[in-house]
Amino acid sequence: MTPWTQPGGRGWNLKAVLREGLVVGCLGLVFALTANKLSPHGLSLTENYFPAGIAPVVPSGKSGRDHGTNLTGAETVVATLKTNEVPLATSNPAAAVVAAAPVVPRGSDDSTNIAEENVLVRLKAVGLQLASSNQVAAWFADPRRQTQQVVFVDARDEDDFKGGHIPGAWLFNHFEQYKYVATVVPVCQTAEVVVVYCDGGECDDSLSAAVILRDYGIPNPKLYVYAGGMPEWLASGRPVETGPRDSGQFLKTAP
Amino acid sequence: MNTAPGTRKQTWTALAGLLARWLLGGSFVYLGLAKALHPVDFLKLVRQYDLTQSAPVLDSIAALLPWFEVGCGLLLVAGVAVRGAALVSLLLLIPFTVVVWRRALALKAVLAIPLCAVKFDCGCGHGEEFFCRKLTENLVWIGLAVWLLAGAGRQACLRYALKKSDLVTESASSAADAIPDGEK
Repeated sequence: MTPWTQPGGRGWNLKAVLREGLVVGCLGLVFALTANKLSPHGLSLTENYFPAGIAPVVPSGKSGRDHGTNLTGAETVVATLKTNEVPLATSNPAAAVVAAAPVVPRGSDDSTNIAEENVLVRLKAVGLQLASSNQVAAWFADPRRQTQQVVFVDARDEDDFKGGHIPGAWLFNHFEQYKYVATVVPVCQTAEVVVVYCDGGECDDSLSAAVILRDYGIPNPKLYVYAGGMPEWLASGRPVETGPRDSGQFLKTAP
Repeated sequence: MNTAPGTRKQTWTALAGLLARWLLGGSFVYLGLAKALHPVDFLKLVRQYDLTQSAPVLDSIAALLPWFEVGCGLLLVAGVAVRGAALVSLLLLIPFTVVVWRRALALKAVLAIPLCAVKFDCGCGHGEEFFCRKLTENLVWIGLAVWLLAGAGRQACLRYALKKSDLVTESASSAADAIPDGEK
């Protein structure tokens, strides 16, 4: 077989292959559009799933189990700054703030604090408030929680939620917000304090969820993002509910 | 005549071509489905590459690319428009390898570790892995796609070429065994 010969010659016909590639490309596109439309997991092609900024504010770090690299949280911040993967001249104000954040020496053990600081500057950039671990503990113990005046919102997916969440928290996975808006938004509207959390570290699902809740009319002053999220909650030995909301099943945590 | 060395070589080459087609197609289907069934995870990973600031573009990549990959893989497995599907596979594999390479280089520079020690989830469909392993794997896929594009993998095809006239042009000066099963 002699490749790359002219039409009518021996072997390969470049024009025919290009034409066939074009047909396959078009068919593939139609197939992909149809499959995405029919799939129960399909994504919208027009929705902004990252309302706090599309650019990865801290790329490739400990932002949940999905984005793992062999970087620690501290190294991730350094990575961001050194490689300038987040352009300084960006349309994302949060990214600009992070890019201007102080450089932290590599190998620091203080990765959790760095992650929280990082989240804080992002929160400030989009005008949201950070909830500290102590504040969250106080709100959890607050009797107003029983009357839904203090509400916890879990911004992770359903599997993570069922694996363990803050007792009484409402699931609000913003990637499938249409499933949760009807129940969660009215609860948040009547609450005095709404605390949104996800997987801690540089996970920004809580940030996105908070921005979306704000877009639904939840006033900014009562919206808080708990940056430590579930990892910090678990580490502090607080109660963890498993299964659906108010299941009454609790995980045994360290004292 | 069937035992002649030339014929035997042709048979083995044809068989290898068939395996290459099934391997490449099968991996496209498997890895495509792994992403298509968890599009949010894939969306987050695509976002990490910082390729675009446009939400519709990012959404389209995350929502359509895995299914596109599945479609391409199915064509290869079934033996339909093989060279066209191989060409499209190449057009998916090469840019993807380049962006993965770029990201690995950036991580290497930051961590000051050998390139092969860089480990991350590239969004390929099987989680975190070492860059060098991923690169080797991609080069193998690219090699197979090029081979199929050059004309291998004609056995057990439903329809090797979409247009029969393309096939006639090629087969006029080729050996009879070059005609795919699906067109005999």
